[in-house]
Amino acid sequence: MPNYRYNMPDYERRNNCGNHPHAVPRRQHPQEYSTARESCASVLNSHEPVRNSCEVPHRECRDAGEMSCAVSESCDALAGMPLAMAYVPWQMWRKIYEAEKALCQGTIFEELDKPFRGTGGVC
Amino acid sequence: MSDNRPCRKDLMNKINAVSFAVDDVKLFLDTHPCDEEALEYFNEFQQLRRSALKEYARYYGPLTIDTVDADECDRWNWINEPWPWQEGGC
Repeated sequence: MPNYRYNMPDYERRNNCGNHPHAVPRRQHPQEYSTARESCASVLNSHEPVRNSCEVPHRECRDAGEMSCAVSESCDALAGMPLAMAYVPWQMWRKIYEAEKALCQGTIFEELDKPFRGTGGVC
Repeated sequence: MSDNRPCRKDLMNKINAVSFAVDDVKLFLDTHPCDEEALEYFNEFQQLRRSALKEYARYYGPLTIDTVDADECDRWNWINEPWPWQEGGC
């Protein structure tokens, strides 16, 4: 079976191998997406505008169900990136849990130990 | 069997912890095959896992077929001890 995992040009790879430690800039702290209400608020408040003029009007989320609120382009951490693509920041080897704690938390990586609370359709 | 043998549950907990670490670093290495620190971690925990499985097998029988040592006795002991999910097995 052919391996398609690295079927992309070299310049698009995010293979660190010690050569590109900053290949993918950190754009958004993952914990800021922890709940629906917080996600919109944090996106709108935690970034400096990258442009002075926003064509898309800025508006606040009024309730947690309003996930489709229009985020102004100036506040969108992924502004300028092609649409319909998924982006995953490149993970670095750091903040490793002790093995016993890792087993309890479900990951050896502190950075992947997310505070999911089981809300939003999950019992 | 000696009464001074280590607690079965403690051994299982250790095996579970180091095995999970091996599994998780394995996933990381799939996408970071050149990461020296991750490789070092994998080697360390793979060795710890082997040792823990060996120690468990010595006192309570083999958990994996790799730790069966058929040369040490004259019968097949694979099914003698309770499995980890059975009462008394863990």
